[in-house]
Amino acid sequence: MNIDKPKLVELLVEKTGMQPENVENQLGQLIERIISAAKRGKALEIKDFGLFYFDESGELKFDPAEELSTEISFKYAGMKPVELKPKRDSTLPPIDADENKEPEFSPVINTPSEELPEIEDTPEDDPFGIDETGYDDFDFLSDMEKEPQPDSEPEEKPIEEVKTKPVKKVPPKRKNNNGLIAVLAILLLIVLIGGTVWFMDSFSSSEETDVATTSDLPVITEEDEENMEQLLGMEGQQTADTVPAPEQEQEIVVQQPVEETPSITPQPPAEDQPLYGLTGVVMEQANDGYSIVIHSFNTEDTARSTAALLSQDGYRALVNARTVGGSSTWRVSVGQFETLEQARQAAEQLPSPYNTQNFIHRIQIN
Amino acid sequence: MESEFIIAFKEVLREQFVDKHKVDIEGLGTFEVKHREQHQKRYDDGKIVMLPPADVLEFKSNIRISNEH
Repeated sequence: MNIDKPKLVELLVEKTGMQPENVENQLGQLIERIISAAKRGKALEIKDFGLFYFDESGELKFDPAEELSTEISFKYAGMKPVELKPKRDSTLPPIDADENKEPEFSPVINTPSEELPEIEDTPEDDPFGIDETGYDDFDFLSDMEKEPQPDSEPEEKPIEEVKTKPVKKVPPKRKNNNGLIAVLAILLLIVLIGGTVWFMDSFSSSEETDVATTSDLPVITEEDEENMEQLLGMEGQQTADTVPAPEQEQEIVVQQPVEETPSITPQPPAEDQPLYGLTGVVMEQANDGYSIVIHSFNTEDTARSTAALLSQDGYRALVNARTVGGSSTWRVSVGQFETLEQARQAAEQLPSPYNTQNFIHRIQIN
Repeated sequence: MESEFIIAFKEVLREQFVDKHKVDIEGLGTFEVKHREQHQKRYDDGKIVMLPPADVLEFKSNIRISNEH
């Protein structure tokens, strides 16, 4: 709410019962006195109210009297400034730095050594400090030798570390180095343990990945292979030789659905059919092209029988032997295509799951 | 100027200040009560002090003395 001069006059009239003209007059006099006094370099004080004066820059200022300030800030009366950090900047930071590194253990070490007498420090050590100081007051040195071991060992002691630990722990005898040595020992220990765990982990996980690759999903390897083919596809036979993907047995010996085939005569005369295509009979002349691999077997027999089934369904079925990862596999592929792109388009038209689970390779006659 | 008026003046203003009303006296200046949050203050000797929150009276005036400068 804003009180302007007329409103103030109104309030004053209410308060005093004086005539409004009189109040206005009095107020004018008051303002004039304040300003003229200030102009003469004097401060005009209204008792229990405040001080009007001009500051160095010539601006009119008002300092409220203490009574007035207290009354205005009555809600917060009695609140005193609180000192937060008693001069710790110079003395304590080293300890703080230690605590930051080793929040779990350093209180154990700090408390007994020599920080205890400083009262300022105790709040920092509270979580652990209370326990220790309570249970043994003066025997700090012997405390020190016992404390770190029972405290730290149960938490993180692997079997291998049992021997090394006491060797590291015993030296702490002197007063001031105790903390440092113990911290270093603990750090070393943690690094050792971490290293061991990591090593074991990576070792076992590498074994796992080995196992994993042998049972890998065919889809992934096929994609790899497809990418390979794309990259190397134009280089002819070399691609076939260098295909490195871990080809895995894909035991999807599903009868090829016959959805597409009815429209096509199962065994069209060789003369009529185009040189390249998905269906028909295998053309010798088309063996320089690409084919869609949909099966991969460990034995030639199953590959041949599957191929026979496929050719019964009207597909151009091819069987290729490849040596992948040291063992030979037999790939059953369908179609003969002049270009990789044609093969890929045809592969998309294959019935499920072959439309997604396939890859294209360059035909190679054994 | 009557002391009765001065007393009334002080009382009225004090009431308005406590109610957090802004008082604008033409020809003198504006009184306004502002809230100040608690805040930290650092002294030159490194002491850091948390000052409690408070309501403070601010006075602003556009009256200046120019003839002395």
